[in-house]
Amino acid sequence: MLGWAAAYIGIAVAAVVVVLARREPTIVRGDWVFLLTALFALVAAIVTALRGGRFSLGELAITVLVLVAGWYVQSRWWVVGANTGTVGVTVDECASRLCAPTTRSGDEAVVTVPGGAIRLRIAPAGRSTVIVFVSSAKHRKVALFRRLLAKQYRSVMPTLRIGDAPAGSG
Amino acid sequence: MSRVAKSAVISNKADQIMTYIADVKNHPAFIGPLKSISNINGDPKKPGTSWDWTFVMAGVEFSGRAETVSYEGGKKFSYKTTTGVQSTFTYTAEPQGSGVKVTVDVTYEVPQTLLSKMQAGVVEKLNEAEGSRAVENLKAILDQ
Repeated sequence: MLGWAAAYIGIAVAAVVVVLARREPTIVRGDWVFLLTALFALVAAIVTALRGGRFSLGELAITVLVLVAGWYVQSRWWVVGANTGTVGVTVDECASRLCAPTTRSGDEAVVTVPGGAIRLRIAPAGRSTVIVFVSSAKHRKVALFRRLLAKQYRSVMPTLRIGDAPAGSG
Repeated sequence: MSRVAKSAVISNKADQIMTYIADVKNHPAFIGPLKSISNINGDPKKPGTSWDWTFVMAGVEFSGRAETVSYEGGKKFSYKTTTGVQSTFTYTAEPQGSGVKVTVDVTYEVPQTLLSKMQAGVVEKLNEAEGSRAVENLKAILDQ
């Protein structure tokens, strides 16, 4: 299990270095962090078990701790390299593109969708901005809003570009 | 030339629906793989107005340019891609019951070059899977 832990830390450090080295704002989605962490833990456990390995109490405790931390961050997105002001404007713009009215109060934003609302908290976090999805409705617009917001920033994974990049796209 | 058409009935006014669709900056909101629209050189309702588009699928980003072919208020908006795969997208609206039937109709040529063939995958994806999703997304956004 030590090897798996080292691999996980190595991947996480590489991702952090890539994101911090970029000039374009990059989005780190907590829900994806949780999903990938859970999958990694699952694969590590299965492979270790198939090889006849045993899990110590400490290893299990660390795995549970990592998964709990992943669960905690799943409702949070970090926009690295963007301040709260620009992220707030982007949130408003995305809601507007979905014909969803937005109201702002301090660091909170409420995007109204049929049958409910998306409640967000937008707060500074060092060089980045954290968006906390406080609560959400179940309308299709919610998924469209999250997807459109994520599209406004680069993802952590590198992207292969084909064709002429639009002028000014970096 | 290949063709795919997908429809949905939306509870809204036809002119409001077509005004929304003709604002091409709205397209990333309802077309899943479309990441961005930029560098619009005028009013997309006017024929000849062009813009850059960027699709992202499976970590691969495709970019190109498109331009308006025609716009008829409350009835039709059509544009064509002018780089890579040659394709034409036509959105039409017609009254149906108490709503409006919105149809997206896509025609495209089978490309010859390798790069265009790769970009054809983007268009095919949009046509088949995303076409249905796009009109359903439009319904979710515009239903009143």
